[in-house]
Amino acid sequence: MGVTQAQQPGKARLLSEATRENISRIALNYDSAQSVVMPALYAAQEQLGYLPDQAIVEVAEILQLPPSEVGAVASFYTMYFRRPVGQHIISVCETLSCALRGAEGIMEHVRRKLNIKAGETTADGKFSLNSVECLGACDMAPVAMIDGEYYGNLTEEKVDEILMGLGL
Amino acid sequence: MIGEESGETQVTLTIDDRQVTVPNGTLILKAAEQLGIEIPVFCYHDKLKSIGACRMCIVDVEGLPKPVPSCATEVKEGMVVRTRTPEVAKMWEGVLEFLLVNHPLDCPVCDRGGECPLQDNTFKYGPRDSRFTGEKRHFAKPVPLSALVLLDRERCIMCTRCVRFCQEISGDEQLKIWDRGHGEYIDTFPGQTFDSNFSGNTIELCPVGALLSSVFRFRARPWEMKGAASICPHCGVGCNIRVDARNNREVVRFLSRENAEVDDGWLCDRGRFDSDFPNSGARLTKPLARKNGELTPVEWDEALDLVAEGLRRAAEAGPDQVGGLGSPWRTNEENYLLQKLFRTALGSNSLDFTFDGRGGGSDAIAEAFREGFFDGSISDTTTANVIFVLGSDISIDLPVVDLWLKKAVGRGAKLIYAYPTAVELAQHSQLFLPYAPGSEVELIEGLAASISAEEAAAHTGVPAELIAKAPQALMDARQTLVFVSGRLLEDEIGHRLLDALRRLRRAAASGEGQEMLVCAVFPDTNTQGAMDMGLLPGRYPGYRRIGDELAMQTIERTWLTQPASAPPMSGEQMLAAAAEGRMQAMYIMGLDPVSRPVGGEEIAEALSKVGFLVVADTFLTKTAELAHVVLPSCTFAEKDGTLTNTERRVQRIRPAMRIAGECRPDWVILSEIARRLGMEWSYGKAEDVFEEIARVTPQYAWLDYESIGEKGLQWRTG
Ligand code: SF4
Ligand code: SF4
Ligand code: FES
Repeated sequence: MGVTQAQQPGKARLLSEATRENISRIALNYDSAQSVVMPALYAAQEQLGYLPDQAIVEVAEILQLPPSEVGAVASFYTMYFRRPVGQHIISVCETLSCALRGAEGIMEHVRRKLNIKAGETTADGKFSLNSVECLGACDMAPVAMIDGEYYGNLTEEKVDEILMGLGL
Repeated sequence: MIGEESGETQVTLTIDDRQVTVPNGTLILKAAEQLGIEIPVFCYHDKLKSIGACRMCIVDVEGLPKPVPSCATEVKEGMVVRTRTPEVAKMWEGVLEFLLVNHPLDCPVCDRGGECPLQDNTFKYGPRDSRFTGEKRHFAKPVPLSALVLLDRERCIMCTRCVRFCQEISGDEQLKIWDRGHGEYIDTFPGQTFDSNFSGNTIELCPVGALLSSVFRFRARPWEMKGAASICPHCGVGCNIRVDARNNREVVRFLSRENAEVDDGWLCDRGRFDSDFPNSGARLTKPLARKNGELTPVEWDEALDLVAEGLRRAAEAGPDQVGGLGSPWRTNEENYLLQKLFRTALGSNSLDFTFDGRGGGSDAIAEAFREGFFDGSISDTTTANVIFVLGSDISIDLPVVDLWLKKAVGRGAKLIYAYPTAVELAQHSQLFLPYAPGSEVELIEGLAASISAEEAAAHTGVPAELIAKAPQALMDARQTLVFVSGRLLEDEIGHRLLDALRRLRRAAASGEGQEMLVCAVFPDTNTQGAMDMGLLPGRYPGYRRIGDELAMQTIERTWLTQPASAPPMSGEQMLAAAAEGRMQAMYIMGLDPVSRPVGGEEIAEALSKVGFLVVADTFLTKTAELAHVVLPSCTFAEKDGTLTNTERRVQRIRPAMRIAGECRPDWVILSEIARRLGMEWSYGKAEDVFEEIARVTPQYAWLDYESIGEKGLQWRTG
C-alpha cells in the first residue's frame, strides 16, 4: 500500500544512513512500531532540522507503518516542525497557568522584538517563534522553552537578556 | 468484563424511570434504545469502536459526580440513568452550541440538508440562538480527496467516524486527523488521493455534509427522492442497496441497505458510484430493425413480429440451428423465460450465458450444485476458524467480501490464501501459497495431505514447508470455509478440482463436530442464477439433465408441453457453428461479447454470419450493432425480479424509477415473443414467473417473493 509507493526510483533519500541506523537501534527498545514513531521523528528532525513530507514517508517506510499514521503524529505535536525553522526556536507557553501569570504580555513582547508572529521565522533565519500548550512547568509560570531549555518566571527584562545572549 | 461469565449475565437498570434488563456489557446508549429513548450521538456508530469523543450523548447517572457519555459507559446493576432532566437538556444544548461555533450553516446548498443528524439534533435539542460573534474557521471548500469523494472541512465536526472506518474496517489508513486543537482537520497524507476501494462508505458514515460524493453532489434534495429496496447490480456479492431516484425520473445514488449476512452495511466504490447508467442519454429507447442494411427505429409490434417470424423460420430449419444467450446481468425470471422460450416454442436446448469455452468443467459444477456440494456462505466468515481462498482475487472479484475476510482475520481466524500472485489480501493472510496456475489440484492434494508436501511442492512451485503448515491448521479447525474460484471449476480441471475438494473436505471434517463449508466465487452479478435457471448446456432449470425422465415429467406438468430434448450446444459450440455459417438464428439478451477486450473481433465475425440475430439490451452495444432486430430492455432500476448471488442467496430488485422511453423488461419482451409463437404464457408480473421457477427448480421450491422479502434467502437442495 502507501508504504511501497513512497520511494520513487531516482528520488534521493533524505535520511542519512546514520539516521536510519539510529532509528533501527531505537526500535529495538520497543515492542510496537507505533511506539517508535516519536523518537524516530526526533531523530529525523535532528538530522534535517525539520520534517519534510518525504522524511515522514521514509520514517514510515523504516517502521513499516502507513505514512498517514506517522504524518498525523508529526502534525499533532508542536515539537515537530513540518516547515524549515530558524536557528533558535522560542516556544512560549500560553496555557492556563502561564496565561494567568502574564504569558500574553510575554508573547507580545517577543513578537515585537523579533517583529514576527507566532508560527513564523525571522527573515534572517535566526529565530522561530511558537505558541505552545502547557510545558508542564506551571510552578515557574510564565514559561518559555528556548532551544530545548526551560526559562521560567519570565519578565520582559529577562526576555531581553535571553535574546541578547542569542545574538539579537 | 473481567471476571464475568461471557455475555450471559443480565443487568437491570432504570432509565428515565423505566426498567430495562440487558446483557452485561451493554452501553447505556443501547439500553436506552431498547426502551425507545433517543439519545443524540455524533461520534458513536454501531459498526465502529466507541471512543466517547464528541460528548453529544452525555447523560446523568445517579451517584456519579459528572455526566457520562452514554456511548462509552456500560450499564451496571441498579444504575439509575436520566436523559430528560433540565440539566441534561442544557448540556446537550451546550454541546450543540459549541459544534455550531465553527459550522458554516450553509444547509441550503448542502447535500445533507434535510437528512442531516446535525440539523436534526440541533432542531430537537439545540439552542435557538448562537452567542458566538467571532470569526468561524475557514477552509477551501470543498476539496477533492479523490475523483469520487470531496471534503468540506468547514462542515466537519471532527467526529472521526471516517478516520476510524479507514482504520478499523477497510484498514487502508487513508484518512487521518492532522494538526491539533482548534486547528485540526481531516486529510489524507499530503499530496496523496484517497486511495481505497471503499471510500464511499465514509460519505455515508459522515453525520454532516462534510464528506460528499462527486456523483451525487447537487443532484437532489432528500424530499425529492424516493428509495427502492434493491440489490447492487455490479458483482456477485449482491450487496443490498437503496436506489434513490429523483422525482421518479433519474437514479441519483446508491446507499447501503445493511444486510448483516451479505454486506455488513458496506458497499465498495465500484458498486456505489456506478449508479448513473440508467439515466444515460445513450440508452436504447425504441426498437430497431435492419432496413436496407441500416438499423431503423420501428414500433414494438413490428419488431416483435419480425423477431417471432425470424425465430420460427430458423427453428423450422432445425433446432440445432437456433440458440440463445442469457446473461449474468439479467434476472432469474428473464433468464428462465429465455430458456423456456427456446425449450418450448423453438425446440432447442442450445442455451448458455457466455461464448467462453468451458473445458468440460461445467458439467462437474452442475453436478456439484445438484447434489448440494456448495454450502458455504459469506457470513460463515464470522465463525470459521480457517478460511481458505483458492484462485480468486477476492478484492476484485467480490469486493465487499474483502472486508469480511479482514474482519475475520481481525478476530483471529486463520486465512490461507492460494493465488498465483501476491494480491493485497494475501498480505493479510497467515499462509500465502503462490502456486503455478494449473496446479490447483495438486495444491489441494497437498493441503489434504493426500500427497506429500514435497510432491505438491514439485507440482505447484510452492515451498514444501509452506504447504506442510496447512494440514495441521485444517485438522485443528472446527470450521473451515473455502472460497473457490468459479472460473477454475468451469475449467478443464474442474472435475478433478471438485474431487480434490471432496477429499479435502473429508480430511478437514474428519473429527467430531468438524465441518468444511465451500462457497464458489462468481464475480458477475447473477452467474449463479443464470446457471440455476438452466442456461447451462445440457441442464434444465435446477441442474437436471436433459432427457432425465422425471425432470421432463415435472417440467411438462408446469409448461403443459414437453421440454425439448434435442442435443444442446454450448456457447462455444454455437459460436463455432456461427463462424461456419451454420446458425440460422440467435437471441442474445443482456450480453455484449463483441466488446470483450480479447477475441471480440472473431466473435463479431461469427455473429455477422448468423442468419437472424436478435439482441435485447439497454445500450446499442457492439453486439447489438450486428443484429437484425434490437430490442430496448429495462435496466435493473426499472423492474422487479430476483438475482442469485455467489453464495446462492436469492434477492429481490425493485423498480426505482419510471421506465425510460419505450423500454420493456426482458421478461415482458420474451412473453410477447412467446405469445406470437403460439405459447400461452400469462405472466402479469415478474412474481408470476418466479412462482413457476419455484415449481420446476427444486432448489427454489421453498421460495416465493414474500419469504425472500427484504433480506433474501439462500436456496437449498433436498
Ligand atoms: S468528515 Fe465527517 S465523518 Fe469525518 S470527522 Fe468530519 S464530520 Fe466526522
Ligand atoms: S461488492 Fe459487489 S455487490 Fe457489493 S457494492 Fe461492490 S460491486 Fe456492488
Ligand atoms: S456519541 Fe457519545 S461521545 Fe460522541
